[in-house]
Amino acid sequence: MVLSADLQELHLEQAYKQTHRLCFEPSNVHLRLPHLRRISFGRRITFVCLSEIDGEPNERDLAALIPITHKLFSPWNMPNLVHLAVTDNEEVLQRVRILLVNVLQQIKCLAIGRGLYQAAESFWEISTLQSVRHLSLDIRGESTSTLFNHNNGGWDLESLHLSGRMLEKEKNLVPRLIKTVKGEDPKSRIKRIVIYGSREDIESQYRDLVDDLDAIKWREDRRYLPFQDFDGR
Amino acid sequence: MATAFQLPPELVLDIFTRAGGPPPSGGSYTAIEDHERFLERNRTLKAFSLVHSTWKSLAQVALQEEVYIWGTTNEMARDKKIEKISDLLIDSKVQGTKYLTVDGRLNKLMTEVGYSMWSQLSYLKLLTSGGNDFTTRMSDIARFPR
Repeated sequence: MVLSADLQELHLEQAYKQTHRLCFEPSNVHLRLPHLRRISFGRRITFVCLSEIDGEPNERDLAALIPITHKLFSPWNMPNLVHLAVTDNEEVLQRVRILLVNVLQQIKCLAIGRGLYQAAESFWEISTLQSVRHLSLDIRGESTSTLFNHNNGGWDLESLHLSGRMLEKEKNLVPRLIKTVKGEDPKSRIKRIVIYGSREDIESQYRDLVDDLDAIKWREDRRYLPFQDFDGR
Repeated sequence: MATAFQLPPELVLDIFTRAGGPPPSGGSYTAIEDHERFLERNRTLKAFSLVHSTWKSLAQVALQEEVYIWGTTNEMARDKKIEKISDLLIDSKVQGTKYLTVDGRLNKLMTEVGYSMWSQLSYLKLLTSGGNDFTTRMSDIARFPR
């Protein structure tokens, strides 16, 4: 029997600083969400498989999860899923990459939220998907300098959304962004770059680029990057 | 104000709902901000419904579009609170809800009110469907009617 629901958006939230366990069981392969277009995983979401025997979550059993999630998160069961938002550490991102691999190629709007401290391999594999047209990144730490260096660049996006504080510490990134958005970077194409934060703060660090900063769009009124509702606008 | 009455009520409602924050805009980062947005929206729509008789029914429909069950800053909504809200939903014959946020046990809510009233639901935000151990079973999500 195929179970089907008309939900268009599903948002799983962190549970009061506790871990929120999203539980799968073998019968989930018969669940269809044909209208689901957006899913977000907040912080501290873990993916677990319910044992068929005792029903207890078994967090380590990735091998048991894969056959379920690969069928559940598939173009057949979720043909309209194009928005994905995920926040947390590398481990969660890695699980998303493995468990949702069958739908990742249809994701057009991807938001990677606060919490990730370095752009590890899973990050690159997800954020550089060919299907992604709009990307929102809020990464802490020293990873921003590597944004354009991985895989020799090769970004092809309609829009890239970044937080202002990511730029403050990276002297080389702003000139690179300006070059790219002006179409002067032969390796990358990004039609629109949007920065969330104070333009004045950036200007104070890049006095020789003040006029060039007009090539970037600024959202000074928003404290945070879009996450759950990210659609590239 | 006389000019406002000459406008189509649907247009005025649209302006009011946007001013109060559309149902889940997602622009807020924290659950507290999101809940405040919901309360603001409700206050605006309730005030709107009192201004003119022709606006009342429109506002009521808009109010029913979103159900938000909030716990507290430190803990999710207790079952007793969910029971009370469920009674209100049933008594008010709420229908046409598109947006549902539950900071409590989703299954408790569904046990109280049933799944049929959520036939138009398109947006679901939750932090647990089951017990107090913050688990969500995918199979619980499949129970929403088509």
